[in-house]
Amino acid sequence: MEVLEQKGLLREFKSASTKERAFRELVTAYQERIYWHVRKIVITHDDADDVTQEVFIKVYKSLENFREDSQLFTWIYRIATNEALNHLKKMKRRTSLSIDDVHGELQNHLTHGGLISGDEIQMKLQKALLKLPEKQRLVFNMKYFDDLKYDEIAEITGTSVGALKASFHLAVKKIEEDLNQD
Amino acid sequence: MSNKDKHIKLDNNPELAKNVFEVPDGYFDNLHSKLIENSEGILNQSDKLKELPFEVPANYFEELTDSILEKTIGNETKVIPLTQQLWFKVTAVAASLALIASFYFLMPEQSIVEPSLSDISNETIIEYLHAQQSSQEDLFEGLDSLDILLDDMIAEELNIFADVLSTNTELNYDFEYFDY
Repeated sequence: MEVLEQKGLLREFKSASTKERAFRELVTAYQERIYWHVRKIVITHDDADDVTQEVFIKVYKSLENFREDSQLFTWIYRIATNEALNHLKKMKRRTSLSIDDVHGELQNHLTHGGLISGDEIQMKLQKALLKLPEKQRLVFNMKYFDDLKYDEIAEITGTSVGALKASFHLAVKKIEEDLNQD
Repeated sequence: MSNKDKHIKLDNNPELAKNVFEVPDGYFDNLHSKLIENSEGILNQSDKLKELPFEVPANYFEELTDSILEKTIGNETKVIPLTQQLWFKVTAVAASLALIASFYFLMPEQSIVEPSLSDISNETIIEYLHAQQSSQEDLFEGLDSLDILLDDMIAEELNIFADVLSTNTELNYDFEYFDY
């Protein structure tokens, strides 16, 4: 993953004269990755759009207080993950659905929603992913699609590398079983 | 050496617990990835699976940048921070005081003209006093007529109320029970 020169960007963001330029640079660099990360969790474009915007508003508000003990992009990924999962929780509260029903709802969007294409096997993979527990789905997405390293995923999710490897291994096993069915 | 000396005990002998096998450097760091990569699983058979079946509207990401900037930087420029407002207020007050002080101290003394009553003719003074008196009389007359108007309105309201009470006797009660 290309990473912006973090120190320079943060210095520019803290200065009133260069703040706008620095933030524009940050948004341009990360918005697509964040959008696709969120989209894989919330499935619909409209929800992904709302959540992505909310993520960058939060980034803007808290960037001055960002402690540089982690990488900027893992910090943004962490905010995005939290926001996307909170969105699913809100969905659950709003519609009084259980989390399984929420996943059923997401499967429904996958089948009938707009701005969804892809061939049969890609759709099958997405449906298989929706059957996984939240954590396994997250880890699988970040490792398989986003190609993040375990260290980076550990920083984003606040989990140990060992636990992540176990989650990914289980996810792969379940997905392959699912894809090989019929 | 006696048989007793040759006897080796597993307990109390840490040397025996040592692992005698070795692996290449960094072997365990890459083991998991190798297992996944080498698996014959369907996930590694096709790159197509790594493509997402999702789409976005045309020019979406250009619009997304604008939308995010509008909701962050755009919002901030419209709201003036309190500190800045205070700074402006303090500066404005200081500037005003400085201006007033400069007028007071720099104005030549002779230019301040004190009007003297002796310079005004008697006729003018009498006219002024007449005008003052008549305007006050107008005001009092106005107040009197307003009082009359209000009295009339109250009397009219009381008459209507008396009529209502005479025709609706159930409304004619007093409030003694609520008077505590």
